Parts: sequence; C-alpha cells; structure tokens
Amino acid sequence: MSPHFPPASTPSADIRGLSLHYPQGPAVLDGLDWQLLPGQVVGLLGRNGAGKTTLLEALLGLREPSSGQVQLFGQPAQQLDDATRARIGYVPQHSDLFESFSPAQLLAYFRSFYPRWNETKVEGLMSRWDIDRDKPIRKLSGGQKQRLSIIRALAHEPDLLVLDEPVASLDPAGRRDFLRELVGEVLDRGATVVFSTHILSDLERVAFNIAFLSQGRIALQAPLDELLEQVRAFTGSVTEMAALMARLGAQPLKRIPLEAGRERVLARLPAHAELPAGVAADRLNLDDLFTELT
Amino acid sequence: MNTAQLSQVLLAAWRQRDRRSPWGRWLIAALVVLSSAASVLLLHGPARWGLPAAISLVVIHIGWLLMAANLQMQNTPSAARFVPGHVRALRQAALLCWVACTAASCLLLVLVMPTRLLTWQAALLGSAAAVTFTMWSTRIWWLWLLFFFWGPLLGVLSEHLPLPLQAAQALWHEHQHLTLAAGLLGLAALMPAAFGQGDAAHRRAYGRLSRLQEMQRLFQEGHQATPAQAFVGLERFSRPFNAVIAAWREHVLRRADNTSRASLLARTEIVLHANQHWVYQLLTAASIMASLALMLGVVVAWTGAPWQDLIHHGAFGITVGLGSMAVMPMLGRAMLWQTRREQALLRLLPGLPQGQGLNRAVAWLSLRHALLATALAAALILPLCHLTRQWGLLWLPLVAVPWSLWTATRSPAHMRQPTGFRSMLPVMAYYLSAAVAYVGTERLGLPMVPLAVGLLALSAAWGAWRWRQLAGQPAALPAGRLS
Repeated sequence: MSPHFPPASTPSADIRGLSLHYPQGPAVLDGLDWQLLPGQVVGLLGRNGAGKTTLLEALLGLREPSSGQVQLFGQPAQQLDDATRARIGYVPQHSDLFESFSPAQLLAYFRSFYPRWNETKVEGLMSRWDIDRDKPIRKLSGGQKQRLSIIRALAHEPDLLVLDEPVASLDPAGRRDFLRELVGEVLDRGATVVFSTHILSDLERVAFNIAFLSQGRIALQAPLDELLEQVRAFTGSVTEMAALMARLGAQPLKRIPLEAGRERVLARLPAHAELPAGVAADRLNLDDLFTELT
Repeated sequence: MNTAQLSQVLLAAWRQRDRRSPWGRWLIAALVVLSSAASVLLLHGPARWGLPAAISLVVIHIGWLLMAANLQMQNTPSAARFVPGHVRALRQAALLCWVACTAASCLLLVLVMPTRLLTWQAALLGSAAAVTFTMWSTRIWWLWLLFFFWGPLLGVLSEHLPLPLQAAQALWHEHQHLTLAAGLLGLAALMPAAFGQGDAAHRRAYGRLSRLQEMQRLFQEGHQATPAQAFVGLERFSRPFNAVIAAWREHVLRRADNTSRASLLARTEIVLHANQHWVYQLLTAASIMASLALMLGVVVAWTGAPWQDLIHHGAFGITVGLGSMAVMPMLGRAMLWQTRREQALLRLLPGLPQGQGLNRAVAWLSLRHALLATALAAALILPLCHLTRQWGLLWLPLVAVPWSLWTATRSPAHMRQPTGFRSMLPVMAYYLSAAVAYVGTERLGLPMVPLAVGLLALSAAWGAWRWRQLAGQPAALPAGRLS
C-alpha cells in the first residue's frame, strides 16, 4: 500500500475527549471527539472565538490539551516521527514565512528537508499565481504571501493538509484556483483536507463534509449535500414536536422555545425519510445552518 | 543532516540580512580591514598582531551572535513540529558553529593574551562558555543582565562564597584536562537544548522572541513601540507610567497659551518626540535606577557584602549603562519620521514659529533634551568616578556633547527613513569615541582636563556655527519631505 493511499479505515487524525482551556479562562474545547478519514475534505465552521484555530492547532500538536488524545496517522500528535511529519502540510492563519527570503529561497530551504517534493506542481503554481520568485517576501502582498504559504504546504504532497482561514486574503479568482488545487489533492492522491473559513460559498463549492464547532465540541459533521437534504426546521407545540421527532426517527439538533408552549426544532431526518402529509417543515441553506448550529 | 540542509540553514542568516542599509555593513567591514592593516603596518611589538587578533575576536563573536539569533528565528514552532529533521538540522548547525567559533576564539585569545595570564585550556573553556552564552542570550534576553553585572557578581561570589569557588579552582588545577573535557561536553550539551520542538513552551518562547525583535525593529525605524507591546503582561506595570504621562499632558494643555513660546514648544514636543518624550525617558531611567538599587539591596542583604565593593566591581558596566541615558535622545531623532503626519497639522498651530524660527525651535527641543540627559548622566557617573578613581569614565557624558549637537542640528527635512543601521551608527560611533578617549587618558596617560576643556570648547564653537547654519536650511517640518 502506497503511503499516499493508506487504508481508509485508518483515520488521518483521531481526536478523543479533547479538552483545552486557557489559563484562568473557560474551556475552549470541551471533551471534543473528531475523526478525519483519508479522502475527506472537511470545512470547519464556527463563530468568531469558537476555537477553530485552537482546535486545528491542538489537532496538529501545537497546543497541549488539558485532557484527551490526538493521534495523527496512528501516532500521538506530540511525538511524530520524521516520516509522519513529512505527510502533514499546514497553512497557519498568520504567515510564518521567513520574510527576508525570496520565494525561490524559501522553497529551496524547505525542499532540502522533504524526501518528496513536487517541483512541477511548485513551478506551475508559482507561474499561475504570478508570484515573483526573487522579490523579498516582505514586499509581497497579503494575498501573494498566502498563496506562497499554500504552495509551500502543497509542495511535498502531504496526506493531511490543515489550513486555517486559507482564503482570507485571496481575491475571488485566487480562491477559485486554490479550491481547485484542494480538490485536485483529494481526487489525485486521496489526501485529507481540513480547513476553516467564514466564506460559506467556498464550502458549497468544495467541502464534501462540514463540521460545526460550537461550545467546544463538534456539534455536527456530515456531508454537505446530506445536510442540505436532511436538516429541516419544524414549528409546533412541545408535545407535537416530541411526537413528530419520535415518529420520524429524527435527530433534534436544536430547540428554540417560542411563546405559548410552542417551539422551533431543527432536526436531521433519516436518509430517505418522508414527511407526513400536513407537516410543515422549512428547508435550510448553509447560511441558515451556520447561524443555527454555531 | 545532509549538506543541502546545512547550507540552507547556514545561508539563512545572510539571506535574512537587512537589505535597506548595505553601506552599514561595508562601512564596518572597511573599518575592520583598515584598522587591522594599519595596526600591522604602523604598530610594533605585541600590539602589531594583537590588535588585529582582538578585532577578529570581536568580529567572530558578533558574527556568531547574529548567526545564533537567526538560528533561533528559523526555529519556528510550526517548522519544528512538521518539517522533518528541521530541529535536528538547526541543532547540528549550531553545534558546528559552536565548535568553529570556540576554536577560532580560543586561538585568537592565545595569540592576544600572554601565556602567563591565560593558558590555552582556560582560553578554550572560556571561549566555549562565551559562545554558549551567546546562543542562550538570543533565546533568553535577560541573560544579558547577568553579562552586564558579571563583574559585581563575580566579586561578591569570590569574597563571600569562597568555598565552592576554591573547590572549583582546586578541581581545575588537579584535574585540568578532565575538568576541561567535562566542561566542554556540558557546554556542548547546552547547545541543542536551546532549540524548541514545537510544543507549548516553544510557542510561548518564540512569541516572546518575535515580539522583542518586532519591538526592536519598530524602535530602530522610529515607530512607536512600548515595552508593554513586547512583554505580555507588562501593561499593568506601565499603568503608573501612563498616568504620569497623561498628567503631564493635561498640565501642558491646561496652561496652553499661544502667545507663549514655552507653551507652544511644550505642546510641539509632545507631538514631535511622542514615545521618546523626555517624560518617558526620565521615567524609564528612574525605573531602571530603582530596579538596580533594589537588586543591589537584595545582593547586599543576601551576601552581606559592602555596597561600595559591589559598585567598585561593577563601576565600568554601570557607567556604560548610565552613558546610554545620554545616547537615548540621539535615538529619539528617528521619532521625527514617525510623527510626520502630525507635523503637517502642527504647522497650522497658531503662533508656531515658521522658517528659521521653526528650524531653531525643533533643534532646540532636541538639543535641550540631549544636554539635560547628558548632564543627568554626568551627575550620576561623577560619584562612581570619585569612588573608583577612574575619572576616564566621565568621557561617556563628555563625548555625548558633540554627538548631541550634530544630531540636533541635522536637517529634519532631508531625513531618510530610519533603519537599524542608520539609527545605531551614531550610537556605535558615540561609544567608540568614548572608548578611544578613555584609552587615551586611562591607558596612554594623556591629560584629561585639557582634553575635556578642549573638546567642550570646540563643541561649543562648532555648535554655534551649526546653529547659524540652521537659518539657511529648508523648513524643518514635516520631516523627510526632501529625502
């Protein structure tokens, strides 16, 4: 089995009971469980301050959790060997490029450390994204720095690619190009890609899976098309809603109390479930899901 | 580690050099080469080769300091965590440099120092310790405090804790080679430990290092950066500072009077000097003095050593520190670049002098600040000179006078964007000229009083001439508009 295509049963990342809180602060992550499988593209959604960056950093072993375990390719995240390190790519929220280097120098620097380096891909992206190879990085625009950071992360063809707000500084054309690369990574090599973003339209384009981070846990993770198809909002009295949920076998995701003993319930229906006649249910788009679930 | 990795890691220091002031490096290189060549051609006796060797020693250690700082900056937490072999490559490169610098430093020390004063074994151990210290000081900034106070600390230790020192000396004499080997191994083992592996402690340490470097860069470029921005958690300590500064501003603004030149200048000074205003600098100096007094008190209470002994041992280092008070206004000139936008508005202030009046007002603010700082430094250094009978230490405030005059009377309109080299060069020149004057009187026996009087008289005449020249210069504000 090629290291590029590990058995699908082996998670690329496996988080169990992860809790993390800042000194003298509330818990940012609270007993979080999460699995990322090979070939998955996961968009991580959460409100500002929900802990997305903290979760991604803890996932990569950059933060020590208060409790819980994180494993990457079957190894504890804090004790990765070199072979496993070479299988991980990371684009942090804030650029950590060596700003006095030129892009060519930066790429030569990192190339010396990796056993595998796709020079053709690097050359192609550098040309396509119009990055001056010899200009000091500190003189590049924010978007160009972001693109360079992405090229650096893709160059060694990682099996797990973690990107924290990767498109924040990119224009729409740059975002489209970037997303195309991500899809290519998955389709060509079966890599796992996880990225946080606030641009929901990008998620609709590429994220096959959406994970909602709320109150320190992954509140829901599912393929996007399933979510759009299966999640509905129902309104009625509390007793009617309880009976309806039981009848449909639906999984209530959120209850919002209304006046006069009524409530609005956001629920996920089982696959291929049919709504009884006369039951009104609202469909939700990704914006609605984000607002309701985070 | 393969050679490709090694060359990339070592080349990074050169690639990350400051490209904005290349002439600074050329100037330093030219000074090193010329002074070494002049020494070989003109001097006789031990100094003929001793001086170039000493200069080379300094160059090696400064080069190593820059390399060590760069290796630390390469040691980013994410690279340490995800780039295979990155930390290992950094550690091995550091060890390689450690061996090379230690060997070169030891060789030069043996060449410079007479054998009766320093054996090669002591030179080797001392060099290794210095090289290791340099690496760690780039990671833990406050180690430099130990460096500056090593004189008094060593004095206190030798006088009041003799047993461990005697034991160490005895061990050194009885088993010199064994002790040397153990010492070298111990110091070498400290080198890899200076690099983090991407864990939480590394993230915190790297964050501190980045903030310090950013603050240093901002400061050199004339931007507003306060220590509170560099040290997380220091904000609360800066509150009393802010309260005093706010009170001063309120006082100046309450008494604002556009018919009064003093009031106008006081308000102008708040804008022009911003974070380098004399109130900031006075408070900083007072805080440092209070901290030093506290440390001195703690050491005296702990060891029972007479405070005069401590002062005597550390007089040189303390004087250099006090001398920096005189140099701060020179560094403050960079602030003129930072406050350019405000200066454009300031020129509309009713009653503010225009033309040559403005030039002299701006120069006077800078000169008054510098001369008062110099006077204060001299007042504090004078008792040290009296205590140690080293009157040559007074050269630090004396030499500051011409440099302050030069800085204050330069045309702000022609000012260029400050860079590290441009900001630090006058400071380095100041310390160098003070060192030359010190050596002249303390080592070569030149008469101090006539030299000092001559320097001050020449400075006054030169200052008067420069003062007249200000009338012909373009309007001082906004700074840098003609660069």
